[in-house]
Amino acid sequence: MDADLYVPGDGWLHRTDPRVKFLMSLALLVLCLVWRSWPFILGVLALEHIMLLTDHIPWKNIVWVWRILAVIIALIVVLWPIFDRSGTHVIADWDWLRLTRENLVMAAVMGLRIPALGFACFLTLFTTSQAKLIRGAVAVGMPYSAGLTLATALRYIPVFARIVTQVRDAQRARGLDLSGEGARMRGIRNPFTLMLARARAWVPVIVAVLIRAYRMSRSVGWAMESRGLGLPGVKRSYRVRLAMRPADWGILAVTVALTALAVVIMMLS
Amino acid sequence: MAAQSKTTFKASMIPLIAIMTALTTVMTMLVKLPTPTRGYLNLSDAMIFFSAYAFGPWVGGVIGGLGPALSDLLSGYPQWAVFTFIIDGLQAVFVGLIVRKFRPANMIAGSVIAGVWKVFGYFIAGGILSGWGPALGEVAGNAGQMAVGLIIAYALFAAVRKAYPPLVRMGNLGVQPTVTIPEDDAAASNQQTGVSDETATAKPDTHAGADH
Amino acid sequence: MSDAPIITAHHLSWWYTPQTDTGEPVQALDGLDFAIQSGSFTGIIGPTGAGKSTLCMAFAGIIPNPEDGVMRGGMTVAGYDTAECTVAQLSSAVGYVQQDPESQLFCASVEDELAFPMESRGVNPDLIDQRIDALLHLVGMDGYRHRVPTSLSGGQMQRVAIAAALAARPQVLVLDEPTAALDPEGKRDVCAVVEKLRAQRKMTIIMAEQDTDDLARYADHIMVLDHGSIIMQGDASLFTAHRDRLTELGVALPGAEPPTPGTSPMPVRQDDDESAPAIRFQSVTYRYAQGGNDSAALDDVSFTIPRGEFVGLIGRNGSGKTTLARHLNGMLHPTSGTVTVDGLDVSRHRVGEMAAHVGVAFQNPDHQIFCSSTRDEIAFGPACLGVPRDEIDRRVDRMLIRFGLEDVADQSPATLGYGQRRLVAFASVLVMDTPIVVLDEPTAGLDRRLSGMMLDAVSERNRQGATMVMISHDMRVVRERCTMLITLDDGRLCACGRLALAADDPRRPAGLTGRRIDGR
Ligand SMILES: Nc1ncnc2c1ncn2[C@@H]1O[C@H](COP(=O)(O)OP(=O)(O)OP(=O)(O)O)[C@@H](O)[C@H]1O
Ligand SMILES: Nc1ncnc2c1ncn2[C@@H]1O[C@H](COP(=O)(O)OP(=O)(O)OP(=O)(O)O)[C@@H](O)[C@H]1O
Ligand SMILES: [Mg+2]
Ligand SMILES: [Mg+2]
Repeated sequence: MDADLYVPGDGWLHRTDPRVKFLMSLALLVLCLVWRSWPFILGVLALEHIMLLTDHIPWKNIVWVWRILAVIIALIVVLWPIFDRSGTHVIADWDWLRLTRENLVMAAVMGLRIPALGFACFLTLFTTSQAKLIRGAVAVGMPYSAGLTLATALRYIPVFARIVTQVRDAQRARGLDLSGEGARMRGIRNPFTLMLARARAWVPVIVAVLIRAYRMSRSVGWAMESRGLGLPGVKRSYRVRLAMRPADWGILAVTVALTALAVVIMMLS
Repeated sequence: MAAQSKTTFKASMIPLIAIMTALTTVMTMLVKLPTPTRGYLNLSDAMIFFSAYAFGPWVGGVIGGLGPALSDLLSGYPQWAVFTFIIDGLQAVFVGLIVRKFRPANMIAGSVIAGVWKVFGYFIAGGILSGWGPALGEVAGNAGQMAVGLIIAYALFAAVRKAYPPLVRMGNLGVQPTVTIPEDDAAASNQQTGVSDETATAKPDTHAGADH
Repeated sequence: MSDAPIITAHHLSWWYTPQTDTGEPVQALDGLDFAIQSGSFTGIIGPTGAGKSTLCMAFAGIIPNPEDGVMRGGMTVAGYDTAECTVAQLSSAVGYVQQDPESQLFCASVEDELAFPMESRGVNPDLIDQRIDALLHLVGMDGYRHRVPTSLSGGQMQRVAIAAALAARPQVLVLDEPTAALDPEGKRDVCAVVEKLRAQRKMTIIMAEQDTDDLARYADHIMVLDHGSIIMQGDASLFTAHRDRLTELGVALPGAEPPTPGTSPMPVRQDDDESAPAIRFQSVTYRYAQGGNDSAALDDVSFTIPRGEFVGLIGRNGSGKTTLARHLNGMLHPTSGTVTVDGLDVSRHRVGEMAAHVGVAFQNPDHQIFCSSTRDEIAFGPACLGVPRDEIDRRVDRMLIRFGLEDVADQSPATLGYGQRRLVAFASVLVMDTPIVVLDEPTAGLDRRLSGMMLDAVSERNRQGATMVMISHDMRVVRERCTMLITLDDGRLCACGRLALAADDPRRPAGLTGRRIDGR
């Protein structure tokens, strides 16, 4: 399990200053949330795909996102008309379900909004390395300690993914049964109890991992301090430097302009 | 652990929060329990409750919020991350604030409040993100996951508290021993080396600020 | 090299805050008085639990400040009083390298790792970039700048950790068992780096170690700790002067690492049913799904282990030893090929079922310790296998006595010292009385006394007919105990055969006569 969504590359988005990308993603997120019109949502989706593709993000990453979101999209599209009975152009009307052109369109919009929101974030996540991400966050005012915490957390996710599997193996090697077979053999049928039994079987694993994690956090703390973290009266410097190139200013300007435009149109319609 | 002077407080908190967060994320993403009703059930709630019990409302709140938020981010639901951070974080904060005794009544009270908050919060968030209708569908699932999570968290905490007390000393349920320990310690060491009391009492006040 | 000592300790004592709520404080250092000359190479040796790590933490200022406990007396390092200043302040004088690389490399890339100490001192970014290259060159890791620390081998990690400790240009470098988990090659790398440092930077170096032959070679000042107090110190000559005293302490004596023993091909025996082989690998290949390096972790490995053998499994770091071990009880299923253990096709059985036939003791005790009492911890395995209660109690008591754990039987094992935790984890596997036992580096990081205790227990089980598979980097142990040797080199089997034994060696393969004991 890898904690980095970053797709190594050198496209134009990769080169863009993280702060600009933050703004881009934020603008898209907000607009998608406030403006429920299908031309707009479709437009945004198209734009996002164009941006990612012109940045040479491989199709498989984009497909990965769609695959993950597919279930929710389907769920929303199916559920929406059941709860939203509005609309005048009735297509079909059973007493429990009333399909109108309006609520079907809205169902589509709500369904498409999920990927629109998702890709708005992936614009940044796919194209910004962890170091730059944190650095950018600190640059826009996140306190360094928070940035360091976040970076360290991301760094240790794969480590603990490995430790958890190792601990799980060590316990299974002593006969611990995590698969629930044992419980089923003991004749537990009630699904809830069965699930609880399975969850409880994890306790030995998690306890061992927790203790290991705590010990590790102690010595990581010592390592950080003995590398001079929190040295009094020193202004921290940063290896990764952020500089707004003319291109960045350009992209920033375009982003602001488009956002403004969208807002205006939204107001008028 | 809770007994730390202010200077070392932050530096030693960063890795604790970071690593426990990483662990929570892994537990949420890796440990999947198939359920009859709704696909998979993860252990995020167990970890949220546990970190609130073990590390108190504030540290526990950060861990409980950040862990699930990161797992949302990494598993393809970035738009959920912010809501998750706020909802799960506050859930842990509530638990941490309300549960002050290792007693069933107290724990049930805290957990129920936190539970109501969580289900409510996710309903709102769901409403904002995917509309109120679909959001309703989630309620049952969240409630169920919480119930299981709570039971596991309780089992976890009881086990860890017995197996490795230092881990839970920071939280409310572990405070009593920590507060008394520096004194014991100084006293004990005095008997072993009849050192003058002022050096012995020197330690406890560096231990000031035990409360976060 | 000035004559004024750079480090002085006077009546330095330290009590750890008890880990159990009711426990007594643990005294780890007891009235130490010593001085360390600037530019010297000091070796700290002593049995497990002697207080070596604690002393190293005291040099780095972790004791008394971030760690919980009470200190008496004091220590000054390069003019700092460790009680007065924070670890961060002290860090500009002392570089501290901990035992476990995993917990001291906390950045996402090697360059960030080395940049961190300089960033926190506000060094100018351009300078940082230059210095990173210089440091990497110093530890012989040029070209690893952009690697992810987790993707490095143990030896490489340690070298990066050393580089990071040097980034702030300290006068003193403290290393706590830097080579504990490394193969001989990794050991040599790290030692070479340390030597180079002394030559080039005139640094004061302090190194806690279990195996002493490097110290005997390089160190000009040796301190022997036991129960937190210095029982002798002097130059390397004390290894010869106090041989017996040190041996009885359990300290390894210097002596050249014996060469890898040769092997003679196994006698081919037609395996009739009652003596089916304990373990058989048939062209086993394994690839890790994600992570790792794209070459197979096990590559077409085939061998047969008769019952009752004591097999040594050796190979460099990352050669696939642990991966092989995890195939033996079905934690991993081969990508291709078949593994037959105790007559069972492993991939057809759950790990839970295999547990009755194969016991696996992993290297890190903290990966299995979770119970609230040592007794329960040891009893956990048999209980999972459904062994009757009274039988369990009998076995557990036997183990507690065997490993001298009676007095901590009701204490929570997680709160014990490292050595005892190792013993508990080991006992909790041995207690399952499986016909096959797999040990992943059982002696790493333990002193001679404890490792002897473990190995004797293993040999005893082996004489009773159990088949043993022991992963080890320690050729001395392999020569002493094993009857058969399997050598891996990045995933490939490069030698497998009977250990070339002296004729008078008492060890005759028990498998030919040995009766197999029943796992259930
Ligand atoms: N955090 C702790 N709390 C309580 N006791 C501790 C703690 N850490 C170590 N000890 C105890 O202090 C003593 C010295 O421990 P230390 O780790 O310094 O020994 P060591 O010589 O480094 O052993 P090893 O050879 O295994 O590294 C041991 O008895 C150990 O049980
Ligand atoms: N969980 C894992 N995922 C991916 N790759 C792995 C995993 N565990 C090990 N590897 C890789 O498989 C190879 C063999 O690893 P293994 O741990 O078996 O070596 P080893 O001989 O046990 O090393 P050591 O002597 O350090 O214990 C290494 O290249 C390692 O990077
Ligand atoms: Mg040590
Ligand atoms: Mg290994």
